[in-house]
Amino acid sequence: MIEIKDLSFRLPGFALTDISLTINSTEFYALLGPTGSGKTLLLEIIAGLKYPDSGSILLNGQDVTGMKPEQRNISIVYQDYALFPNMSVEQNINYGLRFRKKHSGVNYKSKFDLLVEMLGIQKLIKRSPQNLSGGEKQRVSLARALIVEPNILLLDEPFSALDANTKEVIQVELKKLHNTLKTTTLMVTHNFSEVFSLAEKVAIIKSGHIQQVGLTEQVFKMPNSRFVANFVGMKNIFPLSWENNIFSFGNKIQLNNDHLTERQLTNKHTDGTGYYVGLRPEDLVIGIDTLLTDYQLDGTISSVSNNGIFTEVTIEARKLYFTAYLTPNRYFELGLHEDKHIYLGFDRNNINLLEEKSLESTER
Amino acid sequence: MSKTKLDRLYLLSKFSGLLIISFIMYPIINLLLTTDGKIMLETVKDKDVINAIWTSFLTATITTLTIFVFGVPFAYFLARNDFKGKKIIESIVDIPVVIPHTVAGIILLTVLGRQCWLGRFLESTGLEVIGTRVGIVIAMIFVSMPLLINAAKDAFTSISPRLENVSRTLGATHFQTFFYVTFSIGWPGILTGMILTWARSISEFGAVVMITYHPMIAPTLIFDRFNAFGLEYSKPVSAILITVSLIIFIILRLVAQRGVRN
Repeated sequence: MIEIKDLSFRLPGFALTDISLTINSTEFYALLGPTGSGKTLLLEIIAGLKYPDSGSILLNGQDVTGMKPEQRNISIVYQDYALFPNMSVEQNINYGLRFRKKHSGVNYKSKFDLLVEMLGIQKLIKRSPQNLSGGEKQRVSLARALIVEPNILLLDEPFSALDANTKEVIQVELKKLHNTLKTTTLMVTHNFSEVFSLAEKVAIIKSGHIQQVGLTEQVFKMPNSRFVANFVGMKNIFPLSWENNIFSFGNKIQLNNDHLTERQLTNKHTDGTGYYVGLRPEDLVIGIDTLLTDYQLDGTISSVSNNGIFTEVTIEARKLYFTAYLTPNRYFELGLHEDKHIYLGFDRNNINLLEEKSLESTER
Repeated sequence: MSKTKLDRLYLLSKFSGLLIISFIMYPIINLLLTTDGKIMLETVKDKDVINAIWTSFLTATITTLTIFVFGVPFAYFLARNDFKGKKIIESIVDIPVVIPHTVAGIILLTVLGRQCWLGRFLESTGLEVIGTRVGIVIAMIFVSMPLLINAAKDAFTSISPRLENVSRTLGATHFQTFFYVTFSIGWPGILTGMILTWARSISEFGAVVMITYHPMIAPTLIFDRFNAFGLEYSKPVSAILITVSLIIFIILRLVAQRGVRN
């Protein structure tokens, strides 16, 4: 288990501030944030490659804040793999063993064989890292990091340099490795879909501040701010106004107070200023006739794009632009096209009220 | 259209290259071909010539190894740290490149001679500098040092610090990381710097002659023969020095290239 308590680190023009996280043993934890939010910096502090200005890091209850990296047994896999070009694949994987007395003989050999087999890199071990593809390099760097049986495995944007197909394969392999080896893992990424497919828990970071921490599903379903909502793919976010005890957005789209939960209607929300309504693209229903949803608007399709898996439709309704996702089948079934008049609906349980607290940095 | 332009550019570059290579090689080949065979044979057996070439090679080798010991760690420090005044420090390292070597000799003579406390101190410890091989090495170090330091710095800079980070997290200390990763990867670049340093030291004359005339290094002997006996007697020593230096230079280059390939 790793506990990070009130950790701060200042650089000219940037600071990690009061970071607190707890990652339980065997957990796969993700740190999600945009480029420049301090994710890699935090990983390097955890690994002992940089020392914090204040706060502490506890590893299985032991304070390791001032410990050197070689004493922590925390492995890191960088996005550019950082394989040693002066060594073969085999030498790369075994590199960490020469500094660890406990690994010797049979134990080490079986560990090496297991990892090499699990990652399917048996045929590569005599090769030089320069002659490997991105996916192969990633597998080798994972084997190198795991052979030393680290207390925690740190993954720095592990899929960012891979093509879509390889990324998918490595994600599956990583999940399998984690399920087998049960290594506590902290992965940083800017891609929520990676978090969704791998991590049990996630912390969202922006400009050196943690924005939200929780189970992946919980953060996905209940983002606590506009920033987090944006990051977890909630594309329809509109400012709310509050008049005569009624929330409304766009051109008189009024929300029924009975449809909002108590949490959404706490006192601090009731002035309506600085709050947003968020609707997921996949929660919007599109039809050519009136719909049975709690809310219904009529609008016109302004643009359509298709990525092969789903069709993204932008609809102009009540002076707002909504984004909805449809399966290509559904899209053709409805006979949709640009400029077509349609109905757009959503249900009460799809409404998310979002706070303003992180607004300033979402305007990119 | 663009292909014609490219071809013309290619021809121009080729011609420039030919001019440069001829400019370097013609005088060297000419010297080797026009040296009198009989005088050459006498020169090869001449003890003064053998001693001077031996002194040149010995002092250049000691110089290179000394700079390696002190310069490589300093180059690593410069490559891995950004600090206020770094540019000034780097400029100071480059000073010996920009000042005339006779001036370098005068500067060193001023501090190593009896008129300076340092010279008097060294003399009191029994370490004679002026007129000795120690003086030759000091002069060579002064003028050649930037070559190795800059080559090593460039080699280290080109290595991602992430490799070192990974090595540390895998259990290696900073020293072990430097040895197994940084130095090992940077070695071909460092070796190239060492070869250049050695070659530069062999060719040094201006700074050395100000501090140590005797014992002579090969360039001093060539100068001495030229002054005393003229061109015909200085040419054979030059030819021997060029031949031996080139052979060693080529061998070292090949070794370095093999290192890069590996």
